[in-house]
Amino acid sequence: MPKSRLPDTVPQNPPSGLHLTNAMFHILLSLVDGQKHGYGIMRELEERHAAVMGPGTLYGAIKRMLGAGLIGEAEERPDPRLDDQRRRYYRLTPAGHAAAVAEAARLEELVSQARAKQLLPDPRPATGRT
Amino acid sequence: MSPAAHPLAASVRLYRRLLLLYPASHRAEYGRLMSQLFEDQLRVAWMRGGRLALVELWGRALLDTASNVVLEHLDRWSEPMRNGSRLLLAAAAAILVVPFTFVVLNLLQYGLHLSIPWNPHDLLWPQIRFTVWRYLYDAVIVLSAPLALGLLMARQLQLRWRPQVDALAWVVIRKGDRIGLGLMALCLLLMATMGLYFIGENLPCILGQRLAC
Repeated sequence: MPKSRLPDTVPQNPPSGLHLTNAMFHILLSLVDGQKHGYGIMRELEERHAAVMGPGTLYGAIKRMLGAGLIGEAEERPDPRLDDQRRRYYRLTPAGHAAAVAEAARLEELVSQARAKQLLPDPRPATGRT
Repeated sequence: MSPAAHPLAASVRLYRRLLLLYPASHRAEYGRLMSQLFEDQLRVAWMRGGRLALVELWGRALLDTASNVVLEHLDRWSEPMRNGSRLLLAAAAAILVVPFTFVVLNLLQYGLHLSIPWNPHDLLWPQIRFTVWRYLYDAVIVLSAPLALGLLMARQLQLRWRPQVDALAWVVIRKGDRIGLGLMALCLLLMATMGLYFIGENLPCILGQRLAC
């Protein structure tokens, strides 16, 4: 039986060449809405019931993504009266946005393959005859 | 309960101790942020579920620390092996001096019959009287080129996380610099020359055409 493989059109890696982990993709997704600090990212992940990660995983992923240019440290800070000035804020870079789009496309393609194999129901509404 | 003995304060202190397990460079850059984040998590867990929630959070924190400490140390260790590592390049070049000198001088002297009175091989070999030292001498000459090749190849490796298989893996960096690739080619050339020499030298003995070898 031939080994199944992803079609060539599915992007395998983000443009930076860094292999995106689950944690990295979740962080990128959380930064799509705007800049956040570490705890802000974690809170959003918890609210979305997306992932539970510890400080080691979060800052390890942040370090690698900063190195790959997928995210950057935000220069604009919120009002000091409203926030702790010791926090660092992170923002998505254009490369990070492209990586998030590519990973989302890859996951979408995987889901469509799962649908084709009837692992998941077809989301299109059934057109019933009248 | 004194403030210092409060479970949150004690937890923060203990977590700061745990951070010492990380490489110093990682700790210097992210230690304060990690400790601050854990403090935030502790506060929320305490408000939501008291001691039981703290125990659960600690369970996750210990697993998180254990896996990430290993990852950060491996990452730091693989750092010198990344492209542009001059240390490995210099070590490989230094090691290559031995087999290069041996091969070039002996080719000139015995291949082209040039007189080289200061050939280190001719000066050293008669001085080595014990068999063990002779084997060691041969081993240094023969194994230097493969050792240098190993160092140069290690330079082309990088430790990366492969999400497809959820595992760390050594990845070959295909882009190499000219000096590194040139030295790798030299290693292969020296190994081939010495291999041919040793085969040519020992083949008559192996085939039984010569008894004194």
